[in-house]
Order: sequence, then structure tokens, then C-alpha cells
Amino acid sequence: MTVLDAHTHPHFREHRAGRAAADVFLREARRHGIEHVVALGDVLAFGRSPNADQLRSINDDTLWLVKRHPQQVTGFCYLNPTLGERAVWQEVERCVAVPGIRGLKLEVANNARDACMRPVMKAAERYGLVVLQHAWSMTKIKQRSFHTDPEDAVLLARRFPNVRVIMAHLTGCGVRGVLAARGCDNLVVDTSGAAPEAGIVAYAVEKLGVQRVIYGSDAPIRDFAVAIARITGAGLGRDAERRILRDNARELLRLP
Amino acid sequence: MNAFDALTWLGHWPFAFLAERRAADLARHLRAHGIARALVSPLDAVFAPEPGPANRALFRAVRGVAALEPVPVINPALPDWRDQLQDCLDHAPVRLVRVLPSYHRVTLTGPAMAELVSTCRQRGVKLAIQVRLIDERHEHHAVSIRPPKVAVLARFLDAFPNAPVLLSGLLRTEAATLAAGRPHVRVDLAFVEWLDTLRTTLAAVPARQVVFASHTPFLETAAAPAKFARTRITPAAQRALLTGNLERFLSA
Ligand SMILES: [Zn+2]
Repeated sequence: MTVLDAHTHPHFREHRAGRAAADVFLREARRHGIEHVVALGDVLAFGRSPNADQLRSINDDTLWLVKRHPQQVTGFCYLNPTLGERAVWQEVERCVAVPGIRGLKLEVANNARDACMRPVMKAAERYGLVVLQHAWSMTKIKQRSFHTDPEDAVLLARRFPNVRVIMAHLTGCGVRGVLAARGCDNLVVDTSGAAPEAGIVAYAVEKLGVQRVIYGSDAPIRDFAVAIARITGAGLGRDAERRILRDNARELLRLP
Repeated sequence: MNAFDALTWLGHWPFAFLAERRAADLARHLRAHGIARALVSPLDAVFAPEPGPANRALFRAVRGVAALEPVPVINPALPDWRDQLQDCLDHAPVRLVRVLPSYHRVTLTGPAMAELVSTCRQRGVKLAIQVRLIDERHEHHAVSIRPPKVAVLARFLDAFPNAPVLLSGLLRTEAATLAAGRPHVRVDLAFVEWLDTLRTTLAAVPARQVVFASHTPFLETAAAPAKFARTRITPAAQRALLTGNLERFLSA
């Protein structure tokens, strides 16, 4: 089965091998049957709140990769909403000029419920971009002032019902995150996050429906083979596996 | 594949919807994922007042299930730990015992652990330290449990440089830090992960110190053999990780 990975970081500072490492990364993906990846950038390369120059350099890596491998890579433009409305629009417009940029990536510069998200979502609406919001249960982490809990990601999606939102890290969002996402039809959850905890993928499918769960690995932090086994080991059946591993993301990203 | 799994559990876990299997069903489930044999410990020992009843239930459960080798839990923070150990050795041919420092508030560098280490050596029993059972970010909101610090684990390991110890549930960087330069230490792969996990791991840890582990039922069993499916490490290294290393550790 061909696979579409909705959550990867082909450039990653721990590799320290520069842009060439991304080519190796993509070959590795292909070896696992992954024909297309969403590249989110090395989002924590400069800490949790990069300035405009740092942001551009992270996105330049993604733009370079998308131009180099247009068939195999979709790029998401990484944003720091706390830099303000002008900076957000400027960086979005610079990135969407490159074909293959299909989404916006939000990490931990701010919480998804903050007012600074408004221009981000307006830009997503204007250019038809998908928004991938990092999320993790803040029950134990206690960083909610800047770190998005699944309930915050769902609130963001509900405030902007015309924007398609990916809530990242199913395993980090957990049962409470899945329950929060019920009935929020413009939000899907990606299957990345932490170790391959048993049962959570099947639980998400049961509560949200198979069409709202998409495969994502978070590679290279995670192993493609393990990330795929989370889906194929969940006992969902071939049709559901195909939807999660490929079809849902293909439709969400409106890939040809 | 015929793997020998260093970490599986039987019993009940209150904080997640985990599969609760009988011993024969666990063996069958593992077999379906290419795991021929497994070490198995009793989950009910984690939160029980003392581990004795759960250990004895484990011995009863696996009797007649050749694929499962019981690994009882010992709690050296309790005054009767010597009796716990003796009771286990009286009931079953035990090659390994498991200690859960963060769940049982065991001081790794304290006198009870020192005595447990030397008793184990005298009795020919190996020691497993369960560093984590689940991702500490996902613990229940009503409990506060953190894995022992890497520096504390290192101090413990360095205090007994001749005592063979299996560290279970380490993350990738912890495994690299704790195994390197400590040939008496083994690390399991349950929580170790990176792009091509095995190649990445063997770049940092000598192959003979690494053992296969699924951590069933906490983790998706299929994920453990998946690490071997397309790895670029040699077939000989794969065989060592899948079976030989653990067997040699237990029978040394
Ligand atoms: Zn990520």
C-alpha cells in the first residue's frame, strides 16, 4: 500500500548534515512505501519562538525541498503568530508563491486559543491552506500559556469552521483529546506522538470515525516502520488502513 | 522471526484501555507477531501493597505455557523483600527479577538495593530495573510518578560494575548514555525509537547490550518487530538483538 505521511521533519538539527540529509530522509521514506510526505520544517531549531529571520531560514529549507521534490513533498509554512499580523501575512505570501506549499504549521510559540491566531486563520482561509497545530495534553506538562492542549486546538477549529485543522499527536492528546474533538468536523487528528501506545488509534477511529484520523510519523524523531505499525497493528481492516495511511490526507491536502 | 521478548505483562492496569489476556492468549498474540518466547511480569504487583500475591498468581498463570517465562516483581522498599525473593525462588525457576523504583519509591543508591544486588548475584538471579512503564507526560492527573534521573541510574550502575543489570523502558538518548562504557548493562528497545531505530541505536550502544522488547500490552505489539522489518543492520546483529543477547544475559 502506498502511504502519505502527514507529519515529518526532513530537516532536523540533530542530523547536522544540512540540506543533503533531507534527500536521505526521503529515500528512507520511500523504502517504507511512503510516496509523499508533509514537510513541517525544523521548527524548534531556534527555540520555541523564532524571530522573523529565523522563521524564514526554517521555511527556506522547506521551500528548497518542495521545489526539489515536487511529487514527493508538500510543504507547510511555519509561523510564529506572536510576531504579529504583518509578519504572518508576509511570510504566508512569500511561501504560498511556491507551488506545493499547502498548509501552515504552528508549534509552541503561543497557545492556539490566543488572539494572535486570528491572522493565521484568516490567511489559511484566504489561500485555502490546512493548519497543522501541535497539541499535547497539558494535564502533566503545565505549559498551557504557550503550549496547546487538545481542547485549545479544538476551540481554534470551532472558531474558524472554514479552515481545515490537523490536531497533531494523537498519542499526546490521548483519550481526553479524542473526546474533545468529537463533532468538530473541520478537524482531523494525526497519529504521531510519543511511543506507539496500544489502543489509541482504534479508540480515535471508534469515536471520531475513520475519515478524521490521518497517519503521521513525526520522523526522524520516530521510526517510519513503527509509525505505520501503529495503524496496521490496530486491527482496523484494510479499508480503514488505506483511508488513514493515504486517502484521508490526500483528500485533505487536495493532492492530484 | 522467533524473537525472545524481554518485556511483557499480564494483569490489570487501571489507567488505560489495555488488552487483558490470559497467559495462553498472550503467548498466542505474541506468536502472531513473530515473538516465540517472552519474559512476563505481573502488572498487579505495581500498585498492590506488596507484590507476593501478584507474583504467585503469575507463576500459576504461566504454568504449562512454555513460551512465557515469569519475571516476578520485588519491592526492596518493603521490609520483607528478602522473603519476597525467597518465596519466588521457592515457587519457580526464576532467572530475572524486576524492580520498579519510581512506582515503589525505591532508593537505587540505598542499602536495600545494594543488598538485593549482592543477594541476586549469590543466587544466580539477574536484575531488571523498570525505568518507566508509560510516558511520564501521560500519567494520570491524580498521580505523580517520574522515572529515576539518568544521573541516579548511572550512580547505581557504577556502584556495582560487576552486576548484570537490564534497564527496561529507556528512551533512545538515555539508553546511549547509560549503556556506553558499561558492559554489564543491557538496555531494551521498548521505548527506543528514531529514524531506523536499530541502526541509530547501534551507532551509540554496542550490539551485545541491546535486547528486543515489545512492552505488550502497553505498546502496540506490532511496533516492536516493525523496527526490524526494513532496518539496515546486519542479519547477525538482528539475530543477536532478537534472541541471542537476552538468552546469553539470562544464562550467564
Ligand atoms: Zn512534529
